[in-house]
This record gives sequence, structure tokens and C-alpha cells, in this order.
Amino acid sequence: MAPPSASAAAADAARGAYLLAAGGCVACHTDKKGKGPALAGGRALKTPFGVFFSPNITPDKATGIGGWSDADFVRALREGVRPDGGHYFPSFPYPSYTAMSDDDMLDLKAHLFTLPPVAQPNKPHDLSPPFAWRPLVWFWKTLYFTPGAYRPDPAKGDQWNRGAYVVRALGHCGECHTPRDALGGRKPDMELAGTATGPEGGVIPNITPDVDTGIGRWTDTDILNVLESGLLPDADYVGGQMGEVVDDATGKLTDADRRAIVAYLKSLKPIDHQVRRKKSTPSAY
Amino acid sequence: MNTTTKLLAAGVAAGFLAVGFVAAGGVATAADMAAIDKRKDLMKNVVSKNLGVVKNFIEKGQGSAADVKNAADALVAAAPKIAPLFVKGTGRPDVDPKKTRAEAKIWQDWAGFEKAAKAMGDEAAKLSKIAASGDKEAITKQFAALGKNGCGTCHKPFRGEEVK
Repeated sequence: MAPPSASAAAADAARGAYLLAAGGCVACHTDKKGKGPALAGGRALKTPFGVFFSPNITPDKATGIGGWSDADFVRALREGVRPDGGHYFPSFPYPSYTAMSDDDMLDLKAHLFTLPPVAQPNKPHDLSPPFAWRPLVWFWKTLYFTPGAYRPDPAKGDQWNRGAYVVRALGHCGECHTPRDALGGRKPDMELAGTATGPEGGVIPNITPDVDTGIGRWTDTDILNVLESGLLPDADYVGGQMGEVVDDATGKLTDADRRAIVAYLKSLKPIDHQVRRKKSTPSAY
Repeated sequence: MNTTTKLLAAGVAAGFLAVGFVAAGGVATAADMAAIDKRKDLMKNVVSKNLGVVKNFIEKGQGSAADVKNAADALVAAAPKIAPLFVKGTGRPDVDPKKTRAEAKIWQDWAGFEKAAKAMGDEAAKLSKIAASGDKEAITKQFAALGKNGCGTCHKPFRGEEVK
């Protein structure tokens, strides 16, 4: 057996545990409804293109990622390519994870490989034609996908850059909060402006600082509250998919990372985009 | 009795039978459907409103500890009213998802749902006691516990996505 590479030896599994939470990996890679084992996959993700089933990312050799090298793991996240060279459907948010640093990817892998392997074969996706045809993803990637690690903007401070990294790379907030076009590509000029047709058919709010349609009226505390506990400015409480995100991801971040998210979101260009119903007709309960 | 009247009578009788059949089958009636508006009203105008009183006290220094205690007591009184307003057949998928976010899981796990609704009252009762002491730090801590154990435990599993 080949000795582990220098980078793998230096990888920090404890940091990886934090990245697993910040990356929101658990929510999609665990079939909570079916009471499936953690990270063994099988969770259904309903989209306009059909139903995707997340794969097993436990270190099981036969059914999980136990046989993957560091290079395999980095290539999956950075380029959206499987160890066998096939393309991942972008239901796996590699268009966001591509911006993660090499170190973060390897720490994440180191942590995953400390977890118990679970033997659970992956379920095939149930997609409508022609989307089931995997080579089509290559075409999609030429249109919408730009691989590459996040490069900090030297004109902005450390906090802003950390916020940008957490929002755009790790937290992959735009995968839900940015509207998509007919081919499922995120509209670049509408980043984080929300959509009425999000995953599971839900309304995903505009989180740009637009005063009327976004979070322009929210205080720092309002944003920190929803990330930490799910408490909304009107004293409502998030449920559904954001509830999961709070439980599995944003609620587990350090206070410094949550504050970095606030700094980054508040710096964005406000986009006027009404996706929610007016408050006078609550459908909340 | 002329033919028209006979047909009408037969129609009415059939209608009653149909209604009886439907009711026996457990499908919600118009009266049951009113529960949707009632629970929205309760959650918005009693629960959220009183949570807002506590939130504003903590974040903006508005009102007094006595106001927090009153709000907590109102939440204690509201808690047992929640579950009975979730009448079977008034959630998804029976009702248009634009009208309600109540998931089918509520009725599949009724005991879990009732427990989650009751938890809000238990946490609010603790808040009421703490508010009487006037200790703002303790109030802040218990408000967070109320949100986590009294609101989140119900909204996360049992409340679906907002649909436009």
C-alpha cells in the first residue's frame, strides 16, 4: 500500500468535523425521513428535473467513498467529476464547493474517514428524459460551471472574505437562494435574490439587502438569530428546509463565522425581487 | 309530486348520503376547515405577538419584566389550544398547500406533535417564573430555550415549505 501523501498526513479531522457541519453535508446525505444512518445517503431531493437520491459518503469501501484517494475527493468537490471520470449532476452542489480550499477539502475527507463505514448501496436517480443522460451534464458544465478555489479580495477585510467563503463555498447558500433558469443554471445577476420555485417546490426568500423584498430592514441581530436558532424578526420560527439548515449547519457555526455571514450579506447589492406572498395573507400554519 | 320535484328530492337525498359518506370517511367538513384560519390567527396574533414582546424587551429594551411575564403567561394559555386546531384532514396533502403548511406527518405522529405543542407551554411557564425575578440575562437564556424547544421542535418536523 502506498504511504499517505504529505497533505493527507497533515489533514486535521477535527477541523473537518466543523467543515462537515458548515458545509451542510449531513442534511442531504442522510435519509432522515427513512431514519437512515448518518451520511449513508438515500435522501430524495425533488427538483423540476426529477428526483435525485444522495449517495453514501461514509468510508465503506464497497458502497461509500472508502476506496477514494485524496485526489479523487478533491476532484469530486473541485470539478464535479467522479473517480471513474463521469460527471456529477449539479444536484451535488460542486458549483459552490469548487470554491473550497484544498486544505478544507482534505480536512473534511480526513474527518469522514474517521466515521463508521455503512454498507448501503446508492439508489439510482429517478430523472425525466433527457436529463437522465449523464453526458449532457458535460454540456451543462461548459455553460454554467467555473471551477476554482475562492480567491480573497484584498480590497475587503478578513471578515468580509470569510463571510464570502462561508456563504458561497461552504454554506452553498446560493444553491437554494439564487433563482435558476430553465436549464437549472443559477442566474449570475440574481445571486441570493430568492425564488418561488425552490427545491421541494417551496418559496426561498430573497436574502439580498433590498429594503422591500429582501432583508434590508433586518438588523445584525435579526440575521444572527435566524442563523443561530431559526428565530425570525417577526418572532416566527423557521421550519422546513431552512429549519434543517439551522439544525445541521448555521446553528453549529462559530459566532465569528455567523458574524462574517452578516457582514457579507449586508455588503451585497440589493436586488428588488418579490418572491414571497404579501404578509397580509399568511400561509404559515 | 311532479317529476322535477321528485328529481330534486332524489338529488337532495343523494347529497345527504354523499355528505354522510364523506364525513364517515374522515374527510374534513367546512367547519373543520375553519380551524385553518383559527390556528393561523392563534399563531400570529397570540403566539408570535407575545414572543415579540419578549424579543423586543431583550433586543431593544422595550417594556418591563412584568410585560415579559404577562406575555409568557399568554403563551402558557395558548399552548393547549394549538393541537386541537389541527383537525385531521386540514393539512397537506388534503388541502391546497397554498392554504396551509401543516404536513401530513402531524397526523402520522400525533403523539409527537402534541408533545411538541405542549413543550411551548412548559418552556413559557419557566419563562414566566424567571421574568418575575426580573433577571434580564436569565430571561434571554430562557427565551432561547423556548425558541429551540418550544417552537423549533414543532416547526422543523411538522411544518412544510411555503408555496406561492
